[in-house]
Amino acid sequence: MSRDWFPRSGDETPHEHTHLVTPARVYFNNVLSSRFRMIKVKPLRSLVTPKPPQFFMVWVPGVDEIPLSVADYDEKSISFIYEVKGAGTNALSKLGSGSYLGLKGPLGKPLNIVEGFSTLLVVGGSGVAPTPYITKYLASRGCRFEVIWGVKKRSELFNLGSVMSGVEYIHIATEDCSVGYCGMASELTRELVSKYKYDLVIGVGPKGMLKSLCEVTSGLNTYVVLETMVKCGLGLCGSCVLPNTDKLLCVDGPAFRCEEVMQYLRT
Amino acid sequence: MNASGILGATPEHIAKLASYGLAAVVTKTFTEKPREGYAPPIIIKLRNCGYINAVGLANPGIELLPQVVRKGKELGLVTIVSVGGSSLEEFVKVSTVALDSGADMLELNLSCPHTRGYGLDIGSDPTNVYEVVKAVSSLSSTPVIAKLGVSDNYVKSSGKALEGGAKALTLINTVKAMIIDVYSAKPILSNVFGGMSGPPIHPIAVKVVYDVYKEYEPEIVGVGGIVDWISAAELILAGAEALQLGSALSTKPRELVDSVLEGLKEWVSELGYTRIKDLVGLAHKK
Repeated sequence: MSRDWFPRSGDETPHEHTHLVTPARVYFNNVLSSRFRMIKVKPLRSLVTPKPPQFFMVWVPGVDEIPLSVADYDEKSISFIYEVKGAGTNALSKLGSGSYLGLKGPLGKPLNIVEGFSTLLVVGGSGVAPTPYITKYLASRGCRFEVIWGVKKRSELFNLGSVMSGVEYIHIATEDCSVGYCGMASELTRELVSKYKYDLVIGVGPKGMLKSLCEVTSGLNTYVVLETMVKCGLGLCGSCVLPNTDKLLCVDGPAFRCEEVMQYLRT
Repeated sequence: MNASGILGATPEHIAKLASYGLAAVVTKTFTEKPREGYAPPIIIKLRNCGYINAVGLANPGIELLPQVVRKGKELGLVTIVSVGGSSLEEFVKVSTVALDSGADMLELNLSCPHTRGYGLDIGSDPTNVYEVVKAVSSLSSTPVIAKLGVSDNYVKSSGKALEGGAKALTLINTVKAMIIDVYSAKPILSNVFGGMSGPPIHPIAVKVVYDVYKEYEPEIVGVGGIVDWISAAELILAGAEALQLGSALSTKPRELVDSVLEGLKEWVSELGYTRIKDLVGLAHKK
C-alpha cells in the first residue's frame, strides 16, 4: 500500500510547476514593425524550459492575462513577439523596462520534431510570434529548414534574422506584391512542395491560411499551430475548445495534425 | 464524476470529459441567460499546491443546455446538470429546462463563492437552501442534489436541503480565498478573490463530509482536493458515496481517473471488503 502514498502535487517543487504565476521583470519592450512588438523579460524564479510551440499565459498586473507563444528563451530570459489587439496587449505594450508581469507556463504540448527532419515552416500574420523559437529548436535538432513568411504589406516585415538564428533562407511573400513572392504564403508553399521534398511542414498563422496550407500539403506530414481565445490555459474552463472536435487548444495543442482539425478549419 | 465547473458547458466539453473515463458528468453551472464570466486570470495554481479560481459562472445559458445534456446521454454517461440562479424563479426555470432535456439528476449550485448574488450568497442561509431545494424537488421525481460549501451553517444547511427534498448532498465547493503578487503588489485574479480548490481544502472537505454524515447519514458526493486514491478513500470513510474530481483534472486526467479507481479497488480488497459501499462512513464506527 505504499504506492502513491504522497499526493501527486506534494512531491513537486512548487516553483517548477507550470501552472503557477512566476513573476518576471521587463528588460525591454520594443517596436519591431508597424504590426509587431517584442518584449523580453527576466523570470524571477526559474521556469521549466519551453519547447515549441508551447505558450505562456502572460499576466499584465491588474489588466489581463494573454496567451503568447515563446519567441525566444534562454536560462536568463524569455521573449514574446506580440501584436497590440485589445486592452490586454495595449497594457502590455506600455510596460517599460523594470516593470513586473507574471508568467504561467509553459503550457500546451511540444511538437515532436525528429532529428534531421527537412522542414518547411510556413508563417503568416501573427504566426511570426513563435517562429524564432521554432527555428532555434529546429537548428538544435539538426533539421534543415526553410521559412516562408507571408504578410499583407511590406510595413509588417522586420528583420526576422535579427531575432532568429540558424535560418538558411527566408522566402518573403506579400499580398500587395511589394516585396518577394507576389501572393499568399500557401500559394508559394504549393510551388515549393511540388518541387522539393520535406519531411515536415509546420504552419503558423490565421485560420484561413492554415486551411489552405493543409489543402496544398495534403498527403504530407503537416502540423498547424492554432490560435484561439484561451482563458485558463489548463484544460479546465473550456474556452479554447475547437468547435466540432473534442480538442482543447491549451492542452491538446496548440499544434495539431491537419486531419485532427480539418473540420474546425473549414468552419 | 467531474466537479461542476470543469468543462461541461458545450457538447464538445462533454465528449472531452467522457474521454477521461468518468462514470458520470456534471455540466458547468447553467444560468438562465448566457454569462461571459470574468476576464483572465481566472484559474491559477497556488504555491501551496492548491488552485484558485474565479471564472464567474461563465456558461452559454439555457438555450444551449439541451444539446449538452443530449451529448452526455448519447455517450451513455449519467448526466447531471448543475443549476445556478440568483433567485428562486431562476433556479426553477433552469431546472425545468434541464428536466425537459432528460437530465438524470440536478445538482443545485448553492455555494459558488465568487459570484455576487449567486451560490454562497444564497446557500449560506439555511432558509434559502430549503426553499430552493423544495421548489426544484417538487418539479419532478428526478433526484436533486444540493451542492453546499463551507459556511458557519453547513450542518444546518445540509439538514434544510434534505428536509426540502434533496436526495443527496455534494460537499464541498471551493473555499473563499485570494492571492496577491508580491512584486506588482496586485491581486492576481481579475475578480480579486476567488475559490480555492485542490489539496489544501481536502482536510476541510473530509471534516464537512464527516460532520454532515454523522448528523444525517445522507447520500454524499464528496469533492475537494482529491488527487489520488488515498484522498478519495478518506472522503469515502468520512461518508461520501460518490466522488468528484476538479482541479486535479488539469494534469493527465485519464491517468488520474484510472489510478484512483485502481487504487480504490486494491484498497477495498486489502481491507477485506468486496464492495466499496461497505466502507462508506466507516470512520464513524465506534
